[in-house]
Amino acid sequence: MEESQAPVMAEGGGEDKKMKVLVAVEETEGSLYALSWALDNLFTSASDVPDKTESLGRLVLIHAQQPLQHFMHPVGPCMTDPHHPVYATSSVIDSVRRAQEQNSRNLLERATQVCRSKLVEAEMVIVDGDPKEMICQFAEQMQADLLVVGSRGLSKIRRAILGSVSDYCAHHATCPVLIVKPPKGNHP
Amino acid sequence: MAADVGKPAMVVGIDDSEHSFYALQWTLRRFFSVADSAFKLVVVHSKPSPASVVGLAGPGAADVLPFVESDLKKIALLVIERAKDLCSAFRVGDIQYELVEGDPRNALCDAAEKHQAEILVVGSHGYGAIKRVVLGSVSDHCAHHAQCTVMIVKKPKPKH
Repeated sequence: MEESQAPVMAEGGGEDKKMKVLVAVEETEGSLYALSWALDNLFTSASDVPDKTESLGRLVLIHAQQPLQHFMHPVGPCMTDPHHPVYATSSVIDSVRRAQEQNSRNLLERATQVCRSKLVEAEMVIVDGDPKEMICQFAEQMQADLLVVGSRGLSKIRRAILGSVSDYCAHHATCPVLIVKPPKGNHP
Repeated sequence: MAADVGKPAMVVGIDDSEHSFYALQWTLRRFFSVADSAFKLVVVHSKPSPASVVGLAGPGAADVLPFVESDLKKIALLVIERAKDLCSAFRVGDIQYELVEGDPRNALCDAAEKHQAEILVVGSHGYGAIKRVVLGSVSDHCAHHAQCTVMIVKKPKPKH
């Protein structure tokens, strides 16, 4: 029905609108805001359907856990030289690992709540490793159409600064990257 | 066409590179392929000033400037024409085309502010023989300094 030289069908109910979107969820304020922004602006639809995801693609939330180090530096006074690492017992490692996993689950649970409140079903993925590399790798593996990251790292410097994960992803991800800046009201 | 009043603006920065036209096309496909898009589209091209391109040095440089300027103007108009052609293939409502002058890094951030853009879209120049995709200086600058959300659209490298 449309012009033959158009590279893509303009007709067809917006098939191309379907996107596989990967959202990086970290423990920063910016990150959950980024998710919420993405839901508001990428998953819009004219009508209010119970589940918007179907017509709009796939949303995957990814959280990367930093690998645990198997030694710890003692913070208090210590009989041995305080600069030498002390090897933690396995029970300590286990409890730290469990706490970390619980943390990740809580974070993803909060993220899923945000999605549900906007009528979008999201899939959750937890990976182990350096967040910036794991996120980019996963984006490539799942052939994401878009990678969404927050902009700020853990420090609250002025909004022009880009966190290390978002900066890395902007440079190294092979798919388009969306960097969500915090809302204008928030000046430290 | 539905009125575009009240819709958040999506500003797409383009130059004469294939990367930025890829970014424009990607954006059109993903966000403007249905009749009623959630955004209104603003396409911005920043024409660099001749002095910045020539790098004034030595006598006679000033004589070159008018020629460089007219070339840059021609390129700028071609860029806008090409953008118009591309957009006409998609059913977009009102599109605003803006031609500004100056360093694209600042010009794009300024345009985003001026239009109160919700998203600023830029391509990324993947130059270099390095295996990893690299970010061009304009996209990098925008990613750091734009006040609004920035979307960096990368042109995929051919796999084979």
